[in-house]
Amino acid sequence: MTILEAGRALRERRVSAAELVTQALDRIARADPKLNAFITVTADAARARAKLLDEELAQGRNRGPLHGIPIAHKDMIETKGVRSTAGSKLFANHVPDSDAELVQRLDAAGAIMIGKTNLHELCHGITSSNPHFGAVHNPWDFDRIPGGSSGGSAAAVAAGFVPMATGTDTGGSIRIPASYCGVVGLKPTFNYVSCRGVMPLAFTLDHAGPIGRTVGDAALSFFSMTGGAGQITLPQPDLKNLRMGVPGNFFFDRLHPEVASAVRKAVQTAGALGAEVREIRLPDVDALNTIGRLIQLAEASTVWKRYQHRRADFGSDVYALLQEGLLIPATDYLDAQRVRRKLSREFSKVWEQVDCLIAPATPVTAPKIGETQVQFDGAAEDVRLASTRLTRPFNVLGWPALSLPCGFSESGMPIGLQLAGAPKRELMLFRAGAALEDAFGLAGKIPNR
Amino acid sequence: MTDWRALAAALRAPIEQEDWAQVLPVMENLERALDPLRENLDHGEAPWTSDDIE
Repeated sequence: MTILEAGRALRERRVSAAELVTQALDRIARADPKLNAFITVTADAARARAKLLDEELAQGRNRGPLHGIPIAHKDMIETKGVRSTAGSKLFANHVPDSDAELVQRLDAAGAIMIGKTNLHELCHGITSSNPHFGAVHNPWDFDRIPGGSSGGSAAAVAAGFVPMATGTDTGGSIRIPASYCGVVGLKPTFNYVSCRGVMPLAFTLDHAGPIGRTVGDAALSFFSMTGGAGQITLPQPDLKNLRMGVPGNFFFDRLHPEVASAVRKAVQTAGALGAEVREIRLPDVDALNTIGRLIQLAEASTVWKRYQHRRADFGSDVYALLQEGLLIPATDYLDAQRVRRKLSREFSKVWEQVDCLIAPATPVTAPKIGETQVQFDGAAEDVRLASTRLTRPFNVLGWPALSLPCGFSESGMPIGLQLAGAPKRELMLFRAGAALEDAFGLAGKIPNR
Repeated sequence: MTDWRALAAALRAPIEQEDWAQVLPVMENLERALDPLRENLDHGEAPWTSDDIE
């Protein structure tokens, strides 16, 4: 069930929050041993909270669309009294004494946390093959990665454990797993959802947001995370007269043919639904990726430098990235931030021509676990760089970007579409995404496993 | 180009000999990509802040 459907059933007393929690816990007990989406399941606390929320509904208190809905939080997000590992051995027993601000907001909206999801160690990567808590598997093909770093959250939603899980996104860590797992992920405008109480990876690139089964679920969750609980309504699908820009440079280079075909079809669908589709040229997207990588490396190493003497407590890939970040001179970091400011001005001019960008979310479908390279026309590209090159630019710019499924490959793997807008235009993205989602007919599709 | 090994030694960065094969190409590629970008900056260009999101 979607959040909207479950919420309606709850308010009409056709189901209770306690039953929704029991169903979610049963699904996790049955299927998570193969997926490994969760690090911690908070069954007892979830049952107790469901009882409380059922009593509230019985007394006529309705907190809104998320009242009584089971959700999960990425384990990078601090939860009071529940260990929050960040996927790291360093924090294997870390139990925060307060909730992150977004957890507080979702709690106030009536959501029920049923557990903490697995992730790429310290969010510093995209495979979610965690050396300390085990690899997360893609629900569509257990031999493939779910993407990351919010891989457990996306896998938990795709498998139907919960209708929504929280994620964080520094270079694509919400949208990449959403794309690889066939669910919907929003990276909001920078600072729109509070990162207070979220363990940092890169201060000026970190974002928090929802991963949901549908655009509507992502929207309802996002509005709850920003504290608008009193006025939450489902965005109406609408593409009419929306000026959609198809990047003529960079975003359609080096794509797997099945991804290119599915996204081109999605662009045609947008036009058929009334959008004014036009090709546009963007400034230097490669430069955004260069400075985004450099800034992330430097900031992440700043955060974790104090643990550099504990090499054995890090996975080898993450430790290598932290070493690279240690070497970046302050002048390079500051120059990267200066280039970022210049590019931000140049890219903002795109909004004089269009309201929204439409592009692939990732250039490939989910790679196999352990795969380090993907191939494009015979040329190899590092899996991490390939997975992030279409998402990272929007972290650098701080623009909102939505990933939603737009098709499946011949091998049955989901293909992700990405919509990006000007700052604070999330509602427009949801309306456009909902219209496309209706047309694709893929909403809420669950793997047959 | 920067002598990354010398810089690491000066910084006392704990990079083991076997790790350089992974670290060095990343540093060299980033430096090669950043250099032309900063050459085009105006002297007065300040670093980005979240206020620059319009």
